[in-house]
Amino acid sequence: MVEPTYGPVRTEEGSAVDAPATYLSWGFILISIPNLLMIIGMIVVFIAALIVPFPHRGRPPVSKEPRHE
Amino acid sequence: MSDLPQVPEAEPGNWTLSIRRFIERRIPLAHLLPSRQPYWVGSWVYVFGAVAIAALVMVIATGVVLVFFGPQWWHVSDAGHFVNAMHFWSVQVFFVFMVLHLWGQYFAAGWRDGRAPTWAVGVVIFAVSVVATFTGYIAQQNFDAQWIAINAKDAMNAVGVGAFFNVLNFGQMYGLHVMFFPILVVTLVAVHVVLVRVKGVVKPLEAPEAEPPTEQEPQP
Repeated sequence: MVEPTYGPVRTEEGSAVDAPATYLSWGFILISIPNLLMIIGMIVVFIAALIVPFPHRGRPPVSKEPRHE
Repeated sequence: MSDLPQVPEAEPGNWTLSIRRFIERRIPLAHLLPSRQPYWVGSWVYVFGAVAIAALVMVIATGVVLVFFGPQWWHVSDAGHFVNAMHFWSVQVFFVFMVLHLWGQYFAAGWRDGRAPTWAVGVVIFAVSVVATFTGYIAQQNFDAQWIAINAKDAMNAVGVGAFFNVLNFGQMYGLHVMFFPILVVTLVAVHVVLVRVKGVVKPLEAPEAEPPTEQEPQP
């Protein structure tokens, strides 16, 4: 008889997301590597949004409608 | 704003007319659905809020599917795992872009020129979203959810809300997560968007007072 499986599919070693994260500590600062990568990624996206040119910027507006900010 | 339509005052006692005139004066359709935007909106920073709303739409859509099929489905079947993961990751995207939007508005001082209510509603959306997500973590129906609830009960009791916000009561947490908080978040986001439309997008701090040339009507 085949036993039904419940929950996420697991390998012999177990899924990487089931393992505790590695933490970095520096004085009183304690942060997991996934959290740190997330924050670094957000900062990178924010800076990129300021630098990367927006398409079509500077073209005169096409509409004849009055401007509403 | 100076370009608001001139709408006569309603007669006293006619409340439906008063409400209609109030809406016509304060929230005209030209503000709700503008066909032109000032030149400074042409920046990726202004995309963050829109991405957060797109993620919220995905959160609601996947949440509706999950609530129909239930935990016996989302913990067992491949399709359930997929939709469950989409729900989880949509929330992550929602929070990431909500925070990026917050950073953008903070550094642009987005509360200027009468936009304090817009900023304040945004702050409330952030706070409510945190609690909404918290109830979602508790409503997962797995050991992780139990562990979170058991630990969180002490925090809730410590601040005195444990009596009416009982994290060990799955029915209460699930009900709040699938009904109360989604309605509250969507309503607040709608108010936030209407306020943005009514007041307009804030000028950059370095924007000149004079009308920039790209805002002029094109010459025939």
